[in-house]
Amino acid sequence: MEGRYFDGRTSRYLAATLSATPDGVIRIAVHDEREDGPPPVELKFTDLSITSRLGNTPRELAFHGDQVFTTEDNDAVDRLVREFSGASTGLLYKLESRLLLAVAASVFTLAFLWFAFTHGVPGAAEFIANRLPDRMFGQSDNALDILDMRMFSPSELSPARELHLRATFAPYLQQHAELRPRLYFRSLNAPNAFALPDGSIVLTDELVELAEHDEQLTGILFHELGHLHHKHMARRLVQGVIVALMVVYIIGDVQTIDLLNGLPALLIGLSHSRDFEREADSFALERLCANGIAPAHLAALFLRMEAAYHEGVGDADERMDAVASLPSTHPSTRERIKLLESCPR
Amino acid sequence: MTSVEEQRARTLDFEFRGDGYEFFKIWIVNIMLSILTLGVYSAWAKVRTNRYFYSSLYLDGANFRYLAEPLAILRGRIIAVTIFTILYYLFQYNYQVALVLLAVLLPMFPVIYNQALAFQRRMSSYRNIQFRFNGNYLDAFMVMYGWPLLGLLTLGILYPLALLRMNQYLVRNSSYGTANLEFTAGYGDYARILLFLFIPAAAFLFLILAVALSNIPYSVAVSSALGYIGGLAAAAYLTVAFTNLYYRNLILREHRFEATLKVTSVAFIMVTNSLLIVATLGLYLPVAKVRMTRYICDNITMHARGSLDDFVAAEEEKISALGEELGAVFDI
Repeated sequence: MEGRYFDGRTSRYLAATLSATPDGVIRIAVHDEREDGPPPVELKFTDLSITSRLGNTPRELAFHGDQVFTTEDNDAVDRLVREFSGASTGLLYKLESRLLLAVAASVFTLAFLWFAFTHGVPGAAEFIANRLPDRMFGQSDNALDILDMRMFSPSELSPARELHLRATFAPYLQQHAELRPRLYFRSLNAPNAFALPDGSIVLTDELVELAEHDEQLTGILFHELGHLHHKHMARRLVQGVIVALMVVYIIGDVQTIDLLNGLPALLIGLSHSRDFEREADSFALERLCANGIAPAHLAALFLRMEAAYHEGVGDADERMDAVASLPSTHPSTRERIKLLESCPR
Repeated sequence: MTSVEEQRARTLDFEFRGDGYEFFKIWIVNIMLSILTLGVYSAWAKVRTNRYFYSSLYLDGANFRYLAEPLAILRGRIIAVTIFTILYYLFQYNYQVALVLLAVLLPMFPVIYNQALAFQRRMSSYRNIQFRFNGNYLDAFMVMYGWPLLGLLTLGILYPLALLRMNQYLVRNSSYGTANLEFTAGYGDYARILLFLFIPAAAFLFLILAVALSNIPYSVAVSSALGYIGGLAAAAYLTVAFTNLYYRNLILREHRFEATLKVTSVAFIMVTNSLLIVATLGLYLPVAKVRMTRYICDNITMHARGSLDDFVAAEEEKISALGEELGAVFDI
C-alpha cells in the first residue's frame, strides 16, 4: 500500500510503500529523491501499532518509538490486520458505517432521551433522594439566614395577626411533625411562599394580606408541606446534577458555536420544576379535603396572585397559556385551578 | 531574503475533508453507546470525535492527528465528575463548606488551566511532530483573574487588554515541536472590535427595552425575538472578528497566516444550523458542526516561506488528562 512516512524527529515526510511477506515481515520502502535517503525499514507485524478505522480518515501505523506510516488506503490496512492478527474489521467502524444502523440508533437515542427526561431522570432522582439520609438535606439552618440577608425584610404583620395565624396552623403543622416544619413570616414586596430544605416555611406579608380568609392560607401551607413531604429540594438537586452532566457530555462534547447549548438544560429543569409544583398541589388537595376544607379556597388565592402579578388575565386562550407556561417554573394558573375544583369522591 | 526563498513563498489552504453525513453516523453511535454504557463509553466517543476532526484537516498534503488514549480520558473524567457532584451538593446544602472548598480551589484553577492546555496541545500533532504548551502559574493567574478583574474595575476600558493578554499567553507559550509561536496583535485591535459592537448593541438594547415596555401586542414575545436576533448577530460578528484577528497575527517562526471569515456567511450558517437542529430534534448537530468547521477552515490560509519540512520534535512529556477533563466540566 502507498502512503507517507514520518520519522518523528522532523516534520519532513516522504512517500513510502508498505508491503508484507506471507510470514509477517513488514517492509517499508521510502522513496527519497536524494540519494542518501533512509534504507527500507523491516519489522514484524507485531511491532506495528495500528489505529482503528474511523470513517475515511487516514490510518496510522506507528512503530519503533515515534515513526509513523500513514495511508489513506483503509481497505488495504484492514486486509493486513485480518491476515496477520485474525481480528476482523473494527466493530466500531462496522457500526458507524451502516445507514440502517444510524437510523435505528437515532430513533433509539431520541426515544431514550425523551424517556429519560420525562421519567428516567426524575425517577432516578427520587430513588436516590429517598435513600440519602435526611440529615444531608436538613442541615442548613443557615438557609433562612442567607435569604434574610439577601432578600427578606422582617415581617410587618401585627403580632395579633401573626399569633392568630400560628394558632390556626398549629394543628396542621402537628399533623406533619415528622417533617419538622417551622413557620416564619417575612416581607418581600410580593405575595409568595417558600419551603426550605430544613423544614422552614416562609409566608410573605403580602401573601397574607392578599388572602381573603384563613382557609386560603391553609391551602398554601399544605402546598409548601407538600414540597417538604415529597423531598422536592433533594430531588431537584440530584436531577440538576444528572441533567447538567448529561448536557455536558452529550451535547457539550460536540462544542458547536451556536446558541443552543444552555437551552436544553434550562427547559428540562423548568419542566421538572412544574412537575414538582403539580405534586405539591395534589398534596394540598388531598390534605385540604382530609381536613374538611374546600380546595376552591386555594384556587381562589391562586387567581388573586395571578391578578396581582399581571395587569389582567383577560382573554388569554388556552393554547397561549400552554405556550406561556413553557418557560415558567409553575404550571399555568388555569391548570392549577382545574385541579383544585373539588374534593375527589 | 534571497530570490530563491521569495519564489518559495506559497499560499497553503487549510482543507477540511470531513463529511457531515459520515460524522453523523460516528456521532450517533457515540451517543448510543454512551447511553448503553451509562457514560463510560463517552471517553471513547470524545477520542473518536476529536480524531475525526483532526484527521480530516489537511495542510500542504498532510493531516493533523489527535493522539489521546480513551483510558486516560476516562480516568480524568471520573475524577472531574466526582468533584463536580460534591461541589454541586455542597453549594445547595452546606454553604460554608462549599465556600471554603471554593476558596481552596480558586487558586488551583490556573494550574488546572495550564494542565488542560498542555494536555490538549501535546495530544495534537502535525506531520508527526507534537505541539506543546508551557505555561506558568503567574501568567495563568493573571489571565484568568487579574486582567479580567482590571477590565471590570475600569468599566470595560481595559477589557480588550484582558483579551489580548489571554491570547498572547495561549500563543506565546505554545510551540510546534521546538518552534515557538508569536502573536502580534495589540490593545487597539481588540478595542476596535469591541467598540464597533458596543454602539450598535447599546442602540439595539434601547430598541428592545422600548418595545418591551410599550403597548404593542405581544410586546414581550417581540422583544425576546429581537433580543435573540441581536444576540445571534453579536455572536457572529465577534466570532468572525476575533478569528480573523487571531490568525492574521499568528506567526510560526517565519510563516504567517490569513483569515477571511465574513459576518454574513457565519450568521447565515448559525441561523440555518439552529433552525435545522431544532427541526430535527437535535440530530442535525453533528452536521452543523462539520458545516461550520468547514467554513472556518476554508477561510484560513497559511503564507509559508519555504518548506514546512524543517521543524524538530520536542522532548517527551508526561501530562495527565485530569486537567483537560476538569477544565471541561468547570468550563474553564
